Amino acid sequence: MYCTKCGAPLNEDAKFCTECGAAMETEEKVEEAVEEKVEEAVEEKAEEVAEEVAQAEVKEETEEVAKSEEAQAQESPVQEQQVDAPQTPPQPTYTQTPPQGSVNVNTTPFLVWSIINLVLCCFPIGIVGLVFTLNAGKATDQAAADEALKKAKTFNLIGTITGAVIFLVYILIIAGSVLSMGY
Amino acid sequence: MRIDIKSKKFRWFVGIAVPIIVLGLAAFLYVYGNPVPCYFRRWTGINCPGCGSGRAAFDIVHFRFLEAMGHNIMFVILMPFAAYYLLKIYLFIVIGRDVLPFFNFSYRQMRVIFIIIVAFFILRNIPVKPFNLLSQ
Repeated sequence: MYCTKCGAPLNEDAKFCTECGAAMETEEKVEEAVEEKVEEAVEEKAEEVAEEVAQAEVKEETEEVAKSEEAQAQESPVQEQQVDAPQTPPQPTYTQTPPQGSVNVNTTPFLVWSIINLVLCCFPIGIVGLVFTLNAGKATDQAAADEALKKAKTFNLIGTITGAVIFLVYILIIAGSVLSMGY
Repeated sequence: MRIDIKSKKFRWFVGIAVPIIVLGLAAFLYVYGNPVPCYFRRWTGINCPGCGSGRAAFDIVHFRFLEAMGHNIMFVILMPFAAYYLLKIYLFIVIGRDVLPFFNFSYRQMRVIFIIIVAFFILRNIPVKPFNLLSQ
């Protein structure tokens, strides 16, 4: 599903948008809300029409009715059509895909991750990750941007794991040398 | 096994474990210094953009900021942002909501950051007086 506010792709069970923080209603809730609104609208319209019919009847009894009666007679079918109209509920907005042409990518997490990798873990792989993040930001269509972000993610993961492994190996070497000093 | 990051157990685990690990690492750094020298430099002899960050972190933990800047000025400038971003992720996991704001970098801004990093990488490897101050 997509965020109803900013259009960001979300998990199906997301309660909030991860990009803008807007609260997500589930499908059923939206449909329920739409149905309720439609029902309310129908009831209101029905009441209005009933009132108008009643007014028309009252006016019929008085003698100066001729023009207004015609006017009411013309208006009331229109009103009834309006009552019928909202019974087909409007398509909820969340089913709309993000508009074509605008690339919807969030590169900031990958930028931060790449820089952390570059400085702390593994410079060569970190810089590759940074380049792919840049490509994702430059891309003009969604598929290319997603592809570049995927590569950035892969390389950053490799960089982080490499850094962590080297860190652990160093720690083990130090621990080993400290322990072996006793002998 | 798939970890549910919204589950209460995971949130408690992260909420307690991460500060302990961070404090433990800081304490280790305070006492012993950086245990991991840059292997890129060890193998190639070239200063990478991250070289000196261990010593810089050691100096920051000891509140010697000028020396830290001498070791790796980029680390001193960029890492507060990265630390803030990690704090943002930490709070997102623990609280369940994204409470801290952060910049949304445009392509242009990212390119500027990239160029700064590459320029820093090149400049700090020039073994002449004003540039070698970048890699003390």
